[in-house]
Amino acid sequence: MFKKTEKSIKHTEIVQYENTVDNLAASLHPKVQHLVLSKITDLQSGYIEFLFKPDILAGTKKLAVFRPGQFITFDIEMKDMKTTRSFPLVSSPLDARSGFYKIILKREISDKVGNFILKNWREGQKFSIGAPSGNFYYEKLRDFSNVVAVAFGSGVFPFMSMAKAIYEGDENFNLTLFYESNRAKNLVFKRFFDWIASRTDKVRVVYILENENLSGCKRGIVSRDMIEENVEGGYSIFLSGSQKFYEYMKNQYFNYPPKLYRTFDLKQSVDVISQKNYPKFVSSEIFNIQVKCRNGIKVIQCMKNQTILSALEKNGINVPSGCRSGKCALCHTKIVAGQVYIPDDFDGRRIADFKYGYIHPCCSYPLSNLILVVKDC
Amino acid sequence: MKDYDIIVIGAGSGGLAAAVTALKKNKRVLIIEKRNVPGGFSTSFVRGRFEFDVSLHELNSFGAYENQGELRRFFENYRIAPDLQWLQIDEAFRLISLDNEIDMEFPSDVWKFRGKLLEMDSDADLALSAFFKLGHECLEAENFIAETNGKPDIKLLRKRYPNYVKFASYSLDKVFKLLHMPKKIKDVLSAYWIYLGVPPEKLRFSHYASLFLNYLKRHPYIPKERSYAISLSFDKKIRELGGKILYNTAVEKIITENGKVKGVLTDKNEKFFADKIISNLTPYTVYRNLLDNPVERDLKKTSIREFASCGFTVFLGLNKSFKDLKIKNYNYIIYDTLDTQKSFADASSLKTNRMMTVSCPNVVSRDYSPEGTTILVFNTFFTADAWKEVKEKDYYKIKSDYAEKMIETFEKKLNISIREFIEEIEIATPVTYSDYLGCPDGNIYGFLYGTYHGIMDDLSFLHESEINGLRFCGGNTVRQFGYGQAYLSGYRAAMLSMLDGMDGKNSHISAEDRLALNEIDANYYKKPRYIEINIGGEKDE
Repeated sequence: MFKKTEKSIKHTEIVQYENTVDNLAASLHPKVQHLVLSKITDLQSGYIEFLFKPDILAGTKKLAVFRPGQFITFDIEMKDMKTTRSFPLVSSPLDARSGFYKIILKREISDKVGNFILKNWREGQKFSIGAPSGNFYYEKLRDFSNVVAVAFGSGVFPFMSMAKAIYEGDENFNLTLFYESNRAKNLVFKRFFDWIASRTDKVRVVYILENENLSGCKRGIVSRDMIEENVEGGYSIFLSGSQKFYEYMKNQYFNYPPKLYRTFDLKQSVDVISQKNYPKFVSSEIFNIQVKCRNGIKVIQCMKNQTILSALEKNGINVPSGCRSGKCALCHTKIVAGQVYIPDDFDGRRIADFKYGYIHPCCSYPLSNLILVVKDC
Repeated sequence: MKDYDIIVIGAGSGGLAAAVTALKKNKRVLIIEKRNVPGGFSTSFVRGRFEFDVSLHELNSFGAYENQGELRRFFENYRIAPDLQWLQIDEAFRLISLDNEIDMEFPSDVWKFRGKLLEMDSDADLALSAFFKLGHECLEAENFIAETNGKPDIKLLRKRYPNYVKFASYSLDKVFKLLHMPKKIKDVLSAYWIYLGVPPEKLRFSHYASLFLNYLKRHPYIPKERSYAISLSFDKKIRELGGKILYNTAVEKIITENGKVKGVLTDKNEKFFADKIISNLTPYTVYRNLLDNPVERDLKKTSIREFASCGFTVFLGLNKSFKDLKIKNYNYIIYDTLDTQKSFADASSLKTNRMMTVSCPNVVSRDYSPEGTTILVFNTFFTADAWKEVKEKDYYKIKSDYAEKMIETFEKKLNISIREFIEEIEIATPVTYSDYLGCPDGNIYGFLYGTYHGIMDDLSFLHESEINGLRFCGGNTVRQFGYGQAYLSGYRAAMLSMLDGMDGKNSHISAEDRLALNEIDANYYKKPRYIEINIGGEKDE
């Protein structure tokens, strides 16, 4: 039995399989993409656009395509801490095939990381990111072919990508976007959507202004009634905006089937203390966290309304992160002792995580002193 | 100067089991895992209200506590996942062919199964008896061979297991022919071939019989908390035993010197030294990517085997209870036709492949998902060429269209509605498996069975490396792929690794070694063993 095999080995040619699937995987889900920040454009009206191209010299010849609604994640290295920040792509899959990604940032950002980016990112600067990711996209087998999108202000970004992709033929569904802002000058992307809506009847936009009158726009606040006055038949609803906006819409769509209701979740800053199920009594405003790292034990502090991830990063302890909204599980960390609070909408943990004591620190807030074990960092 | 006794590459099922085994013997062990969670395939993911087990539908060789199979014994002995809710599945399968030739349920119990077959054809009694008897003999023979690391005493083998020796290289199909098995019975007996991605004409009888009989003797099992819980349990045990796991770190190179293992280099540019390495990565990948100087013979060994089939899975979270959906079974095995050669040929194209398994864990455990919801998982396999022509820009549409086809086929055959109740859906293609788990070309079934890849060959030497100190575990090694086998292969690799001589030579187990190891191992086995060490098989009592 063995002699035959032995003989065959001697006469075998060494084979390198074609790996066509591996190659497809590598182009759809590259482990790393090297980018050059090719152009920074001030769009006036408070928005800045960043255009990225592949850094061919560094080895990235082309950009990975993606599903409109997904985001890309950057490592941000500031003087005293490292973190990550993700941005929805406003460009389309066709743009990616044509060789660029586009994201847009709001100029008036109140957070440290956003300001750092606006101040420091320069044309010609190089970046390394992974593949686009996220679960906020249209899925034919699940969603109605009529999608109602509702966006407030800069929440509109994922829908820009969707609208463009529909026009370009990479997506095939009917999009009715309710785009709301407080004032006309803040409906910054009206021209963009008007352009697309005039070229495809699959995209329709209803503009809503809270505090002003403008022809072609409705006055008021978006509501379920308003939506259903303007949409016929069944629809899936996709939302993108701030936490307050989501809470408002949740009330509007109370008991709407989860199947038909989707939100774009990316770094939601929740006001934990005002959450309905936040404990009435918490023993302190600030807690100690003992963090066991590869190199030893570090004790840090975390405010009760601060995410544990943010406390870790501010103290130089790097945990991988991505969506920063409890879903992607990249920041998965062991908790050995102590209690945490996790807002319901942001607890994407698995059954075994509860059983064996793991949290997603990006959405966890301390309720007591804690002991954590971080993975290789 | 070594940092560790054993370095394990990859915290998949094999790697985790290997680490625990070595740690129990007080070895210093380091596991290096490129992802941030353990388990590889044994994992799950959350979408909305649903948590989907990525891969585990039917755990083999597990059994009830009072009737433990080899895998459960291993888990019990090492205190892995002791407090999970293990669900026994009382059906083997509901076998359906789309051409209406069959639609029947079969229970996962030897005698009940046999009884049902005899109802179909009472004349098959003799052939069936011979089949089961032969199957048992093969099981025992393979244990015997495993325990001698592929170098059994041939005289003893021939004496104890004469039928095995004769039938060792026969295909399942050939054995059916020899036994004059009636066609209807044959169709049912070979139903599990979709699990192996290889048709009965190419399947080794001994391996199929092993899988089949073990399911019937012990029932298939799943953990309610998903296979991911097993992985986390291993992580916990490893830490308790003083082992080290480095996550988010990939091994870039295995460092060797004069044909011996010296250590590894990681993607963070760190070096760790050990003279023994157990790799949960497939030999194909290791020889081509992790070694600066691979040995030609090793490259040739991974060249004479072809990869088997690549996986495609559709995960559905439905917003209706399984009762309201009228789903009655846990495990649907659906073939387009009972002509297995045609079915296998059809797996080479997205246009023609229609076979699938459909699992509904809520049938076994009502609250497996939130009240009023159901989880349904569709699986099929493709042979590698099927995805060759798929272009990037068509990928999302193609995978969605194929999933749609699978769902429609199921709906139509069972006369039920599924699609309108889809609340969450995720589709894993060979691309996903390639990206997520580094499976070469999305191949999740190990190497293709054929002349060169069966237990005999692996046990003899094909799974070992020419490089001293390097061993493999997981889906592409001894016993080929299979959930339980992955863990047990890790156990085995660790045991053998610890026996490898100080000069690094990969050794077979001598009588003295066996005795020594048995002494250390004596505490871990409650039952007296007929054969001294259990490193690869279970003894039928």
